Amino acid sequence: MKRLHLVVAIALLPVAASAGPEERAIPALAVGQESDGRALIDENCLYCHDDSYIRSLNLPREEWEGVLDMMIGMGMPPLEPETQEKILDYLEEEHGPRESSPSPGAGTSADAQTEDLPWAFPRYRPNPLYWREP
Amino acid sequence: MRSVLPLSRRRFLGAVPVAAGASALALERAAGQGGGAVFGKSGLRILSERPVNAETLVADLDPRYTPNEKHFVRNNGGLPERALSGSLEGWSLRVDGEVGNPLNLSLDDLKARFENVSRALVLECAGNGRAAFQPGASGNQWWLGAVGCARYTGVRLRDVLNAAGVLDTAVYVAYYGEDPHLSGNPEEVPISRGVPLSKALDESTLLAWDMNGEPLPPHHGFPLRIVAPGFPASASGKWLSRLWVRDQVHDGPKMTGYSYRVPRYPVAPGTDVPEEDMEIIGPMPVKSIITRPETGVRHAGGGPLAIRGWAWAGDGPVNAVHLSADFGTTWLPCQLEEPENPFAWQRFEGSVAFDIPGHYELWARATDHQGRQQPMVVPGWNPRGYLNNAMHRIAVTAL
Repeated sequence: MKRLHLVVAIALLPVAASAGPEERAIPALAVGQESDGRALIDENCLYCHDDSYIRSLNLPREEWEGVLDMMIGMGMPPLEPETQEKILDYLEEEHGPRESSPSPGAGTSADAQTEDLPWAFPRYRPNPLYWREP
Repeated sequence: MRSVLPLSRRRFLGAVPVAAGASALALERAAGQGGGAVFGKSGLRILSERPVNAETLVADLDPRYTPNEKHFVRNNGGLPERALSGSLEGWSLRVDGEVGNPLNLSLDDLKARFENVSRALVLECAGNGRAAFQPGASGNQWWLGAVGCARYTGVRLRDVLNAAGVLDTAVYVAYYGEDPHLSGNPEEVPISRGVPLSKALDESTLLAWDMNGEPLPPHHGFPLRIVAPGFPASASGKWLSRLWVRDQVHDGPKMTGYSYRVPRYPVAPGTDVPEEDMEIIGPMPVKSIITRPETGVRHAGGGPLAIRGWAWAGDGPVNAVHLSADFGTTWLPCQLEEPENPFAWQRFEGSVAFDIPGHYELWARATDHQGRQQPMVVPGWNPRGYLNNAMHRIAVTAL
């Protein structure tokens, strides 16, 4: 398993090295408290995919469950319930919803040249009617 | 539970999606894909490498025809070996199902038997703009750049269907391509969608082998693809090998469930919508993008600032584009060209003067041929985050 992690890490290195600011904003897949879950993602997800999809998302548990269902519908072998729970534990912990989105607001450019100009991204919420004061 | 495979087998499988069959050439090229780059592409924002999903930066959408190396890519499986080798050996297009005269056509047959046509056509991913939905939707987090307009050369799909003699029972035209499933399992199909017969018979729906004067690049479907402009780009199958004319709505992978579907009725954000209430997305809504200047521009000199971009709609031309520099309080009409052909995007140009130096937002709003306008906010939340055609906004500092 250790060698496998190494393979994954090597595969990711060049991405980090050449990434623009928006890629840098996405942290590497965390080891996480539930290390079982991380290893199970290696086995069951990174078998076919790279991890950028997971890294780019912050979803509630039930939506991650929906993602797993979708993947099973697309040809992934069904998971043992125990495996699925551990994977969901990890995803919920490390990639659950965040208070504020790290991404700029609706309709903005992902252009690297404006990295030092935070005001260049219109910042108000795309749909403020559904935003509640904390 | 799936056991952990020996490393050597896992690595082999890992290579399959990129280069099934894996010739030396393919492996060499595939190796370049692991470095944060996508073969034949440059300067894209890469969302995922396996499968390859990458979007165009806004500034690179400025040319009338999006260059091949800049056009967005949305793959569901791996690249077929053929796309990398460029070989036509063993390739043909099969047309079967609800037809009186099933066909098996080589590329030369297609070129010789049917009228060749060239069209500038917009392809846009149904999930373009997904990143702005709240609550967020799973799937590739596209911003603005899952759209492009290239010049395609091919034949009309309808001419091919007419040659095959479509039967009265036909309702849908489904595609199958040569792209391998990511698992490497040859029994699995990564995606097989299609279009209703009426769209297949549209004069602008092509079977194309050429993109901007070159054979289709590997990521764009060599040797042949459908281009069904105006529909979600997933309807425009790549690496085409078979057209299956069906007597029912096609039910291949990514036609059913929640894929490329939205609720039949408006739902509150975050609603758990029953599967049977989802319907297949048809034409994409009106949209526009400001390609010059880029957001964050500092405008000196006090003169008017020239603005330009593109506008398009999924079921007809755009009739007007307006700009606002005061958060929608007032709107200025832009000059808008006629489309070069149906489903080509249309250049808009305008200029804005700033009396007082300071911070501004510029908004662009397109209006289609039926008077429908782009919304200011992200419209119609839906479970998979499709069809965000909110106005594009850029920030300007007038010095």
